Amino acid sequence: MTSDADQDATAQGPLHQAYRGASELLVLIQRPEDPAPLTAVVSCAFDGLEEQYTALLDTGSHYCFMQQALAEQLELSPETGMPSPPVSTRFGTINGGFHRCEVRIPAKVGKDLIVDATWIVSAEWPGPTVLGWIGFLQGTAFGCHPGLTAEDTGTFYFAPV
Amino acid sequence: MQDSRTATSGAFGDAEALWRSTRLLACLPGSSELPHWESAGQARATVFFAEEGRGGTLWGMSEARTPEEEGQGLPREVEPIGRCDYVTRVNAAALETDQEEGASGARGAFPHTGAGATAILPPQQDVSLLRFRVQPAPALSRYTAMIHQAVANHAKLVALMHESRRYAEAASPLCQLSSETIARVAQNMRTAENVVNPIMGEFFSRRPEQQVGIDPALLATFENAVRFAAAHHDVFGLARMASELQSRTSAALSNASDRVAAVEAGSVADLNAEIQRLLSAGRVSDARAIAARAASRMPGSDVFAQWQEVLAPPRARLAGEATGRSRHREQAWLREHTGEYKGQWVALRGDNLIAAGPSLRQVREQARQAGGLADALFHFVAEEPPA
Repeated sequence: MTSDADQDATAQGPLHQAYRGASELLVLIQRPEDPAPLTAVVSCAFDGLEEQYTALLDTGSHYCFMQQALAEQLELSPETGMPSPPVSTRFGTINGGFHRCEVRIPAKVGKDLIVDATWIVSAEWPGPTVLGWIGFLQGTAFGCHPGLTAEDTGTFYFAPV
Repeated sequence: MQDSRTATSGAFGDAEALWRSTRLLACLPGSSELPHWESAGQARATVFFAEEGRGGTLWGMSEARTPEEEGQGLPREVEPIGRCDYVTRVNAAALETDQEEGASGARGAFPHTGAGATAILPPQQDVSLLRFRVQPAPALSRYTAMIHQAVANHAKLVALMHESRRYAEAASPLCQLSSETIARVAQNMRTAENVVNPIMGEFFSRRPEQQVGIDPALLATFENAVRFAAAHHDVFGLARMASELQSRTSAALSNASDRVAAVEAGSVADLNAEIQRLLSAGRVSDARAIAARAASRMPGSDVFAQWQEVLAPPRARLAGEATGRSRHREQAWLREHTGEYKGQWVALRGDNLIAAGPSLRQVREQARQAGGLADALFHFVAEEPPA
């Protein structure tokens, strides 16, 4: 049995987290004939690159993946990383290398979020850059709002853990 | 003159002490009749011990000389002079007993007092320089063999230096060094360097975890001590460290309480494989823990430092003010057009497509030429995954 104070603390625990910033969440609802399924992406900036890149927000992904083309711009290669384990994905089993690389989530409200994240770089990965659990999301408190109308962008709320 | 029986029973920590023992041995009663030392009943020398309760081969620099060689001090090659079957820890009072046992001959007893030992050598052995060989633990033989080799070579170095010094001392008063003598001295010096330097170079070029599975603090101390001992030709110091090394690594092996300690005592490859095995099993936290422990125990290891880095939990922080902006126009464009660009990169600024193509490098270049990369949003339209 827990005390009222314990119950309060438990109940307030997750809700007590105050998000410190929010960025655009692009909800890409596609037509049935389009190749990729529904995706929700955020804009990311990487050190040394002026432009921003979309990254798939995927709470179901075990790891973070970085597209090899993007990794090449950052001078990261699968061979120079620590060997990642075979990862089963919708594109098949992927082997690659782990790299550590900072990523910035530009905020539209509050402050930008910078995460020193771990990525798998693989020549076998044909998909998008993915913000997965290990290496990124597990270090971040986050929440999503899909937007009030179909034309709105969503919102990705965040705070460092 | 100092009595050899007492002078050689202490511990020797440097080369000078070693030379004192050598000279005293040469002054044993009857030394003028060398190599007939058996007339003295026994010879005594100070050696370092191997490991308590373990046997080892006792090696020595034979200085048996023919009457013709006497006075020239020409040491022969290093050769084994006895077999140490048992080593025991004794106190000073017990030394006499062991000495008596040793004096009986065939089975030498080598009691020790911690820093050194008094070996009672079988008769008919002329010994000027002694060293021992530790029986290495099987898993560590690769490493300890290098120590033993270093010990052996340093013993040889000391002998060579001694010989050279004798030549110099004998000849310098008259300033009559013959060309042959000079050549021999120079050759001895070169030989010594050639013997010692590669061994020590190989030893120190190895990563700490390749050298021994002991904690980094002790390893650093050990390495410094070996360097010092090598610089001072301290064969006993090297031997002492070899013994310390073996005892600690043996303890590490037998007392390994976790996977890290066990694997660490083996090889980096084993531990590396263990981390990858855990990752393949989805045990990221376990792999992270092993990498962290291995990195802390082996601070010189790049491998484990890299594992620790990539397996560390993500570190998030807030920075500056908001630098983002609304991307609703890009979203609208992507919703409408992504199906037209399968397998391609698209670069957008607002609802304007500024570049597209399969090569990110080319798309970046096009975007740069079309007004710059700043504020552009790049998106890759994935191909349809296989069914």
